[in-house]
Amino acid sequence: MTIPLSDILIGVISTTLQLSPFYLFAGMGEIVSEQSGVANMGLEGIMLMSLMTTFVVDYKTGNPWIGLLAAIGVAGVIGAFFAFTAIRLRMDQIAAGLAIYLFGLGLSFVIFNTVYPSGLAPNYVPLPSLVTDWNKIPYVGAIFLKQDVMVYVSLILVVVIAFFLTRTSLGLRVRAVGENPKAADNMGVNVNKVRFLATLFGALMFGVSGFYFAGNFVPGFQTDVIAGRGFIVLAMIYFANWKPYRTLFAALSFNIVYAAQNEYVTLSGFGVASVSTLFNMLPYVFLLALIPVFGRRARVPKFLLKPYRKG
Amino acid sequence: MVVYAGGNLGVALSSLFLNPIKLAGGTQQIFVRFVLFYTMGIGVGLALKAGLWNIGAQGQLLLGMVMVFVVYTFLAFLPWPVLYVAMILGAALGGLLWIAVPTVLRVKFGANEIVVTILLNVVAINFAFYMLSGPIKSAGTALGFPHSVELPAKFQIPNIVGSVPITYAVPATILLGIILYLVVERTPFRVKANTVGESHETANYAGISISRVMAITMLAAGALAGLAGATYLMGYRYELDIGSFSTNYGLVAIICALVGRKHMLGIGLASFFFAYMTIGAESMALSANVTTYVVFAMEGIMMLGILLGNYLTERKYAV
Amino acid sequence: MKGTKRNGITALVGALIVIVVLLLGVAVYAFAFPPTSATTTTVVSTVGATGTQTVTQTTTVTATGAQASAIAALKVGIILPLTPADNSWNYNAYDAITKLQKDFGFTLSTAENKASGTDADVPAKQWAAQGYNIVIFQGGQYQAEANTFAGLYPNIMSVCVDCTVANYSNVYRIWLDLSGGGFVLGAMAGMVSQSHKFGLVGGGDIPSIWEGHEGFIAGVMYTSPATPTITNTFEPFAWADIAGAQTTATNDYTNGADVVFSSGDGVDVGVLGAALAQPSTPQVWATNVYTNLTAILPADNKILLGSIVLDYYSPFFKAMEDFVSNTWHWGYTKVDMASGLIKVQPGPDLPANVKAAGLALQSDIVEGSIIISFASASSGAPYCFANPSASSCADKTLTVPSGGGMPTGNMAALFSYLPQASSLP
Repeated sequence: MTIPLSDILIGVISTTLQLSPFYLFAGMGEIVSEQSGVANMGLEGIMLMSLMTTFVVDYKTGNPWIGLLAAIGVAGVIGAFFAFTAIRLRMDQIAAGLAIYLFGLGLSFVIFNTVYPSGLAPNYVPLPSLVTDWNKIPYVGAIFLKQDVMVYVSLILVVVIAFFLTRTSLGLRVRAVGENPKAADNMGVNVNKVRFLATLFGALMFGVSGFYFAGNFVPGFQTDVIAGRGFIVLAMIYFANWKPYRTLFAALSFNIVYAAQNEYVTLSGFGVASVSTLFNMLPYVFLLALIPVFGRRARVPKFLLKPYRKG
Repeated sequence: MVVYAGGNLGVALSSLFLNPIKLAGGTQQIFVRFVLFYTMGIGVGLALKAGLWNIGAQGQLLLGMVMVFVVYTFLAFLPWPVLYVAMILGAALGGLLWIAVPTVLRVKFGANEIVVTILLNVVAINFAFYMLSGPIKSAGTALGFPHSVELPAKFQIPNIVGSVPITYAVPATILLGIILYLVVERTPFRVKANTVGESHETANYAGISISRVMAITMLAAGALAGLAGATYLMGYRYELDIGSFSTNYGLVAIICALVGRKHMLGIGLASFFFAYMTIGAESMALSANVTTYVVFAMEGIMMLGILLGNYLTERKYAV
Repeated sequence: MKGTKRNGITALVGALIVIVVLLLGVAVYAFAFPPTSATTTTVVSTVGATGTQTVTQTTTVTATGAQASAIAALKVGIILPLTPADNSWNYNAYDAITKLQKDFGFTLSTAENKASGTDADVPAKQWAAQGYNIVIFQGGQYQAEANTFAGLYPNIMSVCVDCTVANYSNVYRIWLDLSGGGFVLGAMAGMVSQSHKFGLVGGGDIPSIWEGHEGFIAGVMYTSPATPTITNTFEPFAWADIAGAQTTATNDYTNGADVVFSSGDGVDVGVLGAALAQPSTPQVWATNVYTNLTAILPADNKILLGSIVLDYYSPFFKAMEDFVSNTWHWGYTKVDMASGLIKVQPGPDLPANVKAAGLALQSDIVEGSIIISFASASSGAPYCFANPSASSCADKTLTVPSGGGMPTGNMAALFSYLPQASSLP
């Protein structure tokens, strides 16, 4: 009558692994961007546009990889525009970001509604799992082999970005631009160009995030379907002190708490929605509790949010 | 085809610009939204002066709304005038309490308030839903669509002139804005806030208590957002239901504060403009049979346009 | 620092730029994406002395010539909680009303994404000012608003779908009873499940939804050869939380369930997503409500146990017919399996005997040899609707002894089974 504990644990871990990459892609992108001094608050708008693009392209072509390319393309265009306004025009980054968010929120659904006005959209063709018959292999199968390849790409990305930011000269330049742009400028670094590239990279990663959301979170596009998860990424990297491995920890633990409370609520059959909302709060409260864990003073990149004027 | 699209363009534009005044209830809604955006906006603008971003306006708004009914339900034994005032103050208190956590975290731990307030926005929705399904639920509620009781007439904010649906909330808010303007711009507080906003080092050097300034502005911002909830509930909606949770009023208020360049009058103009335009856009969405989400896209365009305009004029006068 | 003169110029230039950008944006939008649903009236050509329209649900509606032209002159508005993109609740209603509009040519306006009654008030009043005749409130959350609106505009028919309360004669209720559909799906699920574990994901704890759930559970109990394990979850934010429903359903599948029942809107979308993401063996199943998904999902999809399909065309038509014949006061329609307005469409991949058994049960319900109702055995009235706070309605447990037989428990008194239907495998 009861469900075995092993099944429950497998479910929780599997779900955690399935949900985390969304935060990881965006997290890595935003880390690079913010390390160079630009915070992109429009990330959720870019994600929504990429998500919508993914669905539309996938529906039309039946190929998720083309969807990925299209998603990255769209994200790049919007990201470039944002980078232009924030860096070249030196507009207030948060304001520009919020405007992009609103714009993306609205336009994504407007376009989707125009392409599929009556809502009749065909099935989304997702990326295949690593191994098609993953459930034949106990334990390992459900946890590791069920995921699609992007999960592992995201994990590799964390390693790559960590290495990039600490060991490569370009990565160090990115950080220098965010910490002390004047000094970097004096040493011959084109501050604005580095920032532009970093911000663009961030936007491209948001595109991948948007692509990943499709299929793994929802099978179809609806209004405001990302529902604030993009903004949570900002919190995650903040509490992780802009360190990739800590972001990985933050993302995994956030999603473990989410998956665990979801499982618990399902199994206890509260039936009544209201009590489960209290449990829904847990992952977010958990993130807040990370502040004392990771130390009091966050090392904010000194020139985050500050535009740079040459000379 | 062109005529077809052109015809619809005419309908769209006329609904956008004219419907808010033409249609019944349009004027009322403009002012309701104006009050909402302005009350929250001046709070956000105030915090912005000290360099602090209150992205949590939406969460504080929700808490304010919840507190109105918490006071109404649990302090019902108070005599009417006291209860009425208590509800309004309770709303402000709700917003203040909700911003207290980010404030403490920012002042004591240096934790960035943007991030904390964003998280608390999500928590606020869950918490408000919980409260609405439990403590402040209306007895006759259809399960699954919880809502509160409806406030009877004597707990509503009355209209200035009986038939014209503009409530006392409007002049009250404008008055609040003026008072805030005077307090902030004409007192030494202005210098303190600006200094803290520009550079903590200068502020330290000048002996200004940074924590105090930050705390005051943030808490005031939270209280104002909560207060906005009271004006909305008691002046227009009269009951709390989940339709209020899925709004983006907090975000628009932040935009108004930005567009109004932190100046109380500017925020007022921006609030009115956005109130008018959002009502018009929703009406346009209805008449031209496009989705209401086009409103969001338009808000984004509007904001970019105004910011761009600000920027261009600033360039002319660039030092 | 910043002089007032500069503020004024800034504001002016800013405003001008805004207006220009705005106009450009609207122009581009309107030219590039003209609205796709027609709002102009066209005359229907097929009507003579008696016009017959055959609709997909194999229910025929008949309109006389005079009625048809009267209907063509109507202005109808419909308010949806989400959008038709959910392929479920909203899609079902939207599909039906637009088909009706094509057939009869009345003026139709749609308001989407109205989360609650107060939000619905805005378009409703706008339509009232524009002389609309009928406003359809598509959802139980609009019950209070539908009644208030009806009180303000006594000449406008306020159609309230999934509502039980009418305070005014111009409130036209369309009642939903999903228990029959749930029962048939549950019976098929009980037959086809290998693990005997079932999950239900609900969109909101309201009567029409838990009827569907209870019906499903009763069906499972009816046919399952082993004692089933059942997890019954109601999502907060119900209809809108697709991702949450997908995660919950994925949990259910990982916990061993091989059938998940879902009851509407975004929840359906999420559960289907979870089912589609499962591997092909062991076979898992999902259900959905309100839309004929076999028309939407690819023909080779393997996961659809069945859809509960509602016919809104006939009830909406009846409402309009009653309106033009002036017989609409205190009107209502009951949409359930017994009236033929709810049907189960079995999934394409079900074994033939399971399909046959399910459809046989369905016809039993239509014939009346199986009655599923939340009724006390004696009175037959919808007891718990009228008495939601009664103790027997508060605890919605239902226990059925393994191997079939009469249910016991609080809800048991509210199910009544007549003699068993024809053979089951």
